[in-house]
Amino acid sequence: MSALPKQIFHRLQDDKEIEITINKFKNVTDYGGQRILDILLICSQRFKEERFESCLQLAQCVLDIVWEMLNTGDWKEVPVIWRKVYTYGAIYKAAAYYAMGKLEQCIHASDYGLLMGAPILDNILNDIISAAAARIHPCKQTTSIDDALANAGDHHRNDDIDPQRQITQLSCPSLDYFRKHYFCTKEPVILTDVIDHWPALGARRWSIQRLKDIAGHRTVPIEIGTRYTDDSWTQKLMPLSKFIDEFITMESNQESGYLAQHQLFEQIPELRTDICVPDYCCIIDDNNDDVDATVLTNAWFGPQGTISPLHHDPYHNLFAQVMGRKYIRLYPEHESENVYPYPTKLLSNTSQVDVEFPNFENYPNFANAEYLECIIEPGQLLYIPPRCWHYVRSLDISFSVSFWW
Amino acid sequence: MTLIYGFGYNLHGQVDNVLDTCNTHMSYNQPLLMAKIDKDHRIVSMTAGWSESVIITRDTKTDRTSTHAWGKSCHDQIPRNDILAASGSWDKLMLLSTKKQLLLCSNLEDIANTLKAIENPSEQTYRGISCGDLHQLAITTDEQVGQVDKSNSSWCFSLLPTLQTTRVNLVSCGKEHALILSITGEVFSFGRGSRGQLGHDTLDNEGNPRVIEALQGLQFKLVTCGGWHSFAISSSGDAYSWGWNQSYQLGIDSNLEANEVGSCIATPTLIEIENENVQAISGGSKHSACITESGKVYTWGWGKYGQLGHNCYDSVKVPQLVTALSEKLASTVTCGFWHTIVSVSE
Repeated sequence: MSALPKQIFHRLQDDKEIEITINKFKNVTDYGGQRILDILLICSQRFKEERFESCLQLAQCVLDIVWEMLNTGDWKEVPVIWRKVYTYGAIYKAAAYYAMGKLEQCIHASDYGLLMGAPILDNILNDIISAAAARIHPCKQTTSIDDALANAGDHHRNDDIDPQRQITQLSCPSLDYFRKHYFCTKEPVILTDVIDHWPALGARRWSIQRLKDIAGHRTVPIEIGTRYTDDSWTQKLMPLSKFIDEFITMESNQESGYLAQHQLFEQIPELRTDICVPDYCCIIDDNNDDVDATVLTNAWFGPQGTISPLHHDPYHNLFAQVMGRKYIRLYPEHESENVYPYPTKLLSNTSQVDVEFPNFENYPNFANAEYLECIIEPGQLLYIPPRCWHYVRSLDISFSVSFWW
Repeated sequence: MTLIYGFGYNLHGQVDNVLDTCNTHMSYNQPLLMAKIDKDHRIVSMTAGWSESVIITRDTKTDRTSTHAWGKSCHDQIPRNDILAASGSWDKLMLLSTKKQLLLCSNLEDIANTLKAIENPSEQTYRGISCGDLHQLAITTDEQVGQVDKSNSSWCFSLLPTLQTTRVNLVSCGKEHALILSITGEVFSFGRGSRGQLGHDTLDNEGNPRVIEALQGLQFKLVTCGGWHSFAISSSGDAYSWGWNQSYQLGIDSNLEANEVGSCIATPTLIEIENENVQAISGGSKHSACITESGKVYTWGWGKYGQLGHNCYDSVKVPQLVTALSEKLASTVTCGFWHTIVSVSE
């Protein structure tokens, strides 16, 4: 048995706080949720009585039924209250595991609460994770993988890039200059000397070992399969250390795994302190009234050879390279017809063409489409305008951070 | 005499009718005798949701029906003597009265205040019902199918526009999809298709009922929905399944399937059960149960709450005999979300 830090333990067994929290969920009773609140109440009582096995079972029962709610109907239409109830169940599950001394399971349960749920109780799950992480043994060393990183990789060199098509590089332009010449005109550009001060690139330089040390026990979503357009493509949740061991450092893995488009820095604040949102992300469109000031920060971490098929997004995108190199090709928005988007609504932002091995019989006009290209290296920042088509292939083990706004 | 057995999730007393959630068994992983029904009574309807079980029997001498209900929300709460059929989902309960009228309870947790007759200006009468989480369907006595939907503050029935010329025999609703069986034995589906549960070889949604082409040419006698999966039994006794196979609820070894997209199988696939024909089949949230021609009960899929009745909590990939019932002759089976009810004759 291990004791949770006092302030966490106290909050989870304080009758008053439990009552207040459960009361906040009252509107689930409009959707038949009283039965779940009844279970949550008993679950919290069992925690208080230190009957942790029983607490765990009841919490699991809540998670199982709310999981069904979250999977019924369109995800976007599921009332957010269900995600909060899910998180409350995850909190008791994690706390019970902690109390039983099962720290890995505790972190695992907490991550499910963060990934599937919505923050409640001042994001107490992060406190539970920190407490568990402080007591847990570190993930095992990765033998000299970081040394190997320096030499490995696909030697796709800069001179393979057609100089005519090379994306312009610019050293740390002023916000105004960037706005006028790139943001407003929707021109892509590589910015250098902008993110050099990131701890991730200097004082606390990211390496496979460092990621493992900070976040090895954390559960993250992994895309399995080379391209998201493939039939066999799927997503799995697994601890980051398992992903590293099975998909990054093991060269013989036949399946390709990619931690892609995940808000890792929301989930793991310890990593967030190693990066900064670039100032350029505060530039906004003049003629856009419903401006949403939030910047979506996503992590992209994978082995050499991950591919994001040619697609476009509705956002301004600053794409920061932290580890390894990536080959990127851009087709302007006005080439849309020549890149043959999928006819289905779901994939209408994705091209059917295999960019580096195009089938010109099926897609003859693709040969006429004009494009730009580059190899982006650690410390560089690529600006991809909204609806600009982009194709990305990693040349090394790679970690990138994208900022969408 | 008919015996009713139940197994699986029981926190609300849906199997043993112990209604104190603090002191009940969370689950039974072996069949538990729920009720004995004497030989003059015949089961006319059996349904189960997440937290309740409801069985309706008819006295063959007097023709009167009686309702038996398990679980905190339903026990003591639903009409006893004038119900012909019941169908439950997560938060709703639909009833067909002996006068062939529809009643809908829009919140199971408050049956007393929310059980209401459905608006019926044209004095329609009904013969079949099915209640899901996103759809509620009913069949009229002249074999037309329609949906029960909320319009303003009342619940109304309206015919499905594209199926008005099709005579319908049976309807079944899953969590977010529905199956319709015509009297000629054709199978239609509509609703959400993201788990392949519509059987059209895609993961697309269908707003209107669409005939399942892969089943055309065969005649079917039964269709039924699990949570995100579907079953159909042909008139010759072959059972087919399609939809989500995440917990092996389809009863087929998905690794061998060519049409697999993730863990979804969007095309009807034949289930093999010891070379026997299948007479009844039912799907829970993520588990399934069937009765073969010889009266044996098989279960498969998610077993975490004992809903497979195999004396353990393991999930099972292909249909496996419920040995505790193997000496008995089973006749009907229905799956709740996480529990299973079987009637056997003695």
